[in-house]
Amino acid sequence: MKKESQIRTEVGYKYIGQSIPRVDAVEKVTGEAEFIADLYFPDVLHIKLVRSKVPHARIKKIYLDDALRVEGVRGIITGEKAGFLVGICIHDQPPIAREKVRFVGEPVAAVVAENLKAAKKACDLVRVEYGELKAVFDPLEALREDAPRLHEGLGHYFHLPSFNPVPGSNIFHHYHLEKGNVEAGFKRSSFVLERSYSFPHISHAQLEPHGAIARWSSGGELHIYTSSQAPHIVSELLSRIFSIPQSKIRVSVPFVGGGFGGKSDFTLEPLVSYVARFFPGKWVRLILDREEMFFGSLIGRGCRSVMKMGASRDGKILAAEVKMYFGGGAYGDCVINIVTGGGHNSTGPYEIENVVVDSYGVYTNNPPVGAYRGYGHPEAHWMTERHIEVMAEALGISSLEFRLKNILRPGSENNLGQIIREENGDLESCVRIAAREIGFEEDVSGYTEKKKVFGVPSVKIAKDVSALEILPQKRFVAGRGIAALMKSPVISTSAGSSAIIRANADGSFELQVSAIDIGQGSMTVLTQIAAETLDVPVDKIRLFKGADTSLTPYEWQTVASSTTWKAGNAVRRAALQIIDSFKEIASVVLDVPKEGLSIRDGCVWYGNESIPYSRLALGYVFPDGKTIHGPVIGWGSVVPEGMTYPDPKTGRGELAAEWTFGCQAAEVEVDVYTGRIRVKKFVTVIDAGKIINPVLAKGQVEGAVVQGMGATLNEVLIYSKEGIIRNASLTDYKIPTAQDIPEKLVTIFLENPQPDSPYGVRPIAEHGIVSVAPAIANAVKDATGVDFYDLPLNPDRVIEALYGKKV
Amino acid sequence: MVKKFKRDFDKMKYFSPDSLADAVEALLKYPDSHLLAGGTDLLVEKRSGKIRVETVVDLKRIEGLDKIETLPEGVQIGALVTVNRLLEKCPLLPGLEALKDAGKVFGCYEIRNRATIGGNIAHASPGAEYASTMVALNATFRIFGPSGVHEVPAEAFFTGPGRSILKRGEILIAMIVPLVPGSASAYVRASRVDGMDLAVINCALYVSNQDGGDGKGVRVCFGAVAEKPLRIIEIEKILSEGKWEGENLLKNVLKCKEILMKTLSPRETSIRANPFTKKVLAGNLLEDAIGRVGERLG
Repeated sequence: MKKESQIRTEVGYKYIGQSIPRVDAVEKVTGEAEFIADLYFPDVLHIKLVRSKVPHARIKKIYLDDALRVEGVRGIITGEKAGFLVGICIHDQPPIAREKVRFVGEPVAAVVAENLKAAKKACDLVRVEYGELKAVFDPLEALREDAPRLHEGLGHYFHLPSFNPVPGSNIFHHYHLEKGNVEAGFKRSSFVLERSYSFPHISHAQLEPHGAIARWSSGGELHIYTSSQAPHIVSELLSRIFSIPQSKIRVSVPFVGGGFGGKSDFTLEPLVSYVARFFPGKWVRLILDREEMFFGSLIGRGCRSVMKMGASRDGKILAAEVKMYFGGGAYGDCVINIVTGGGHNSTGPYEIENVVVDSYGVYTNNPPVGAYRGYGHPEAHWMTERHIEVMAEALGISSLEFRLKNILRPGSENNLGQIIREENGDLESCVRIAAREIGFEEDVSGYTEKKKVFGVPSVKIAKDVSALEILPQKRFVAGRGIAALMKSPVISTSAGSSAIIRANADGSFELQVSAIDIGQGSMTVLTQIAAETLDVPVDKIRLFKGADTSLTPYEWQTVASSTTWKAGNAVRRAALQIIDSFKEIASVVLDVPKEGLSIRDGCVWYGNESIPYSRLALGYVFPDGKTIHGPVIGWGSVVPEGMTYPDPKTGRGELAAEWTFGCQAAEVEVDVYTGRIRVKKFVTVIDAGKIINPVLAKGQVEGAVVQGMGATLNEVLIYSKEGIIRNASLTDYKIPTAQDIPEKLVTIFLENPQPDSPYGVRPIAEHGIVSVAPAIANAVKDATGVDFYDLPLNPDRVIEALYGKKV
Repeated sequence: MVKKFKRDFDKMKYFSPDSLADAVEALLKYPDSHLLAGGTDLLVEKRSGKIRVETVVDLKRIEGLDKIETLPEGVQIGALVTVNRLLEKCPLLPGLEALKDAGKVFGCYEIRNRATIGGNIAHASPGAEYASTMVALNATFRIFGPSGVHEVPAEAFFTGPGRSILKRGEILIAMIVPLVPGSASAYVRASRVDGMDLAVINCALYVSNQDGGDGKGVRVCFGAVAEKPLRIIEIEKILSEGKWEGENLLKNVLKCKEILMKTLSPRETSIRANPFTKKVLAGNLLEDAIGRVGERLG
């Protein structure tokens, strides 16, 4: 560590704004950090799942006899005995299939054995007799009258009041938003354009597979270790489904190797707990294989959408009508809030007077969809930021100008009816800086044929030219594109965070939170916030590395880029309470008013007199041994104040507690021979508020950009006609590698502080992914003249677009 | 005598003979045994359950299989030469360029450290880097078996996806690539990402100035467009005609592309690219390879 006590930034911070090394770096680099698969328990029993091979069927009979005879098998659990349905917002999922299977890969039986080999062997011997039903994989097809119904009981499912399932259909949630009068807006428009877009199902591909290890004690208490972003949600859920108090459930989370939303809400915990209940006193373990990760937990995205937008001749957007259809897979609970959040933010960072949004969550016979970094916003921005581009071209103005004419500014009213304030950030500057960085405002030669304003194709390969006549003059064509972005955390109105800090005898501190470090660096950042507030070096703060619902205080869940902002605020409040206690003790010791005291460098000061924290931590001991106060503990607790449920009629209200605005821009090179798109430069500008740790913040954005690039250029879960994922392995599900990262990754933060957050921070962890796809596609349009509306932009799509499917 | 290192590895039988004869004996004694070279295919397929592996005959202790030698008839590459070793040690001789082109895009560095050229060939994947390359380079494969050593042309080696002419008890031990002064070659491929990936389709091209009187000796082989590496004689003929420059070459390239669009019929079910893409890519990769070979011929 550098001489921290001497370093103060211009605003007077010592630890905030410093790129201190990660506090978990050593454990992770040496391999000492323990992840779920590293935990060993005596006499552990292993689960291997028998999974459905058909997408939609009644379970007629499950034959277990042969499998039960395998040596080492201790039992096989089916779903029949589970008298509950899993879910938080909507209860629609059995822990193991019951009566029906609804996707290929759904657990039908759990073989429990003394070793994995026996479990695997037995799995192969379980035979399931199905009565096959028609299956549906596309959300639009699932809406048709003659589509098979996945959940006959939809009308009876419990759901929270802010959701609207449509009984008798496959719609598990319909979110409707209305602002102004859309019809009137379209009438006033001199140009109206309607188009469809799609974003396929993709996989999170976390480095660490999902896993859970559970034991029911003989006394009926449950202890579960899990790789999760949401230990308290899991605890609440398990409490409900097993009808036992949360005080008898302990959820422990060790180090987590990547979440990206795929470990939020719940994953394997209900299943493993349900199975373990049949083996009291035994630890029961399930760790997914890499291949199972593609169909055995949550998948992401999967959205088809239609946008209709009207604008005046001079480029003012007057109306927008949006329909979004989220193919939510077989169960809706983990995707249901994406339907709302993706819906209300679907028109992007623009002020539009008249808006109607209908966003549907639709059951399909795919693995269930859950949160994936960006939470509906990448799907929405893929549509809107491409639409803006196409509109601008048709209107004959540059899309940069078109954007700047319509973006949300202080004073603008967003779709929800909230007025954007100065403190929400400076989107206009983000857009202008991104445009400048990618070279729209200056002459960059060497690439495009003609140095025109962007949006004008430089090389056009007409679709009607046969492939045979093509011998392109240039193998590589380059282009540049831009796409703005916004995101609000889509969280529960009561999404609380809390923190506890305890003072040690030597003046160092123990910090406990249940926010999970899923790789984003929250351990480090929260430590920095505590260090700054208490004014002690970071190595005098020990953050408990892990979460445990019986030890660490409540955290709703680690999602929505909200940890630094929300848990950070809780940590700051806890630290302030410690200071308050220290001052209280010191005021007695020094016999001075508390208000006249200050803290600095690990001491409480009154003028030139000081008392070090070490003498206050456990209470003050006077020279005669008399002691006052006792051990000092501080706690902090926050909720996103003022949030409300959406108005049932208009879908509006205080649904967003925060806003983060930004803009992204890409420079691409299209290989006309191979259809490969390479991103040469990618720029992200975000008004991030105060940056706590510049290196970590930049890492978050760069990681998000590269992850988004994967989904833009390659990633897609390929289903067979029978709903089987055909590329359920990293051999054929290609995520970007180090070799694929753009040569130039530029990240620029504006730091206009957010007043109600600790040190002025704003959420940023997901935002780098939000507009990656449209920025790249807009650049591809610039390079080739081709508009793409469906992802990914893989060689199949590019080659077909460039050469035409002739011959 | 079959010497064996027995290890209780998942109850798998593991033999590590130090002579080819012992290896053959083990292969014959255990009809379900698998040969192990680098293991980069075998272990992956074992883990995925695609194959059952109960007995393994490891070739790595047999001396001489990992050598690269320049002989009068050509460069002889031992079957156990790893890709990285080939990249480091193979002499930079005219005509052999494709061997290194292929090595540079093969797997990733770690895989290249383990994977062997012979294993890549004997596994007979239709898109294997060294399958198309060896066919284009007109290599000869040396096979050791119960009845001794025999040789076959590379082209005759492959019989289908994952299938070759190798019979039980036979081992591919070396590949001999002929050296022809004034020749050049290139290997190009399309992949989905720049990092570790398999070839979506590949193309190896070999051109010799000395063959066949006035024309050029041209050999072209495509990978991952058919059940086995595919040579297209019609294209080779066209490219052998006339001068290798300007209008003539351009005209010929267009003709080749037309033929590829008409004659190739890649399988519909590939998840790496659809047939139309593969056909377009075949022509474009060929053009790319021609450009590279042209430069190398000088």
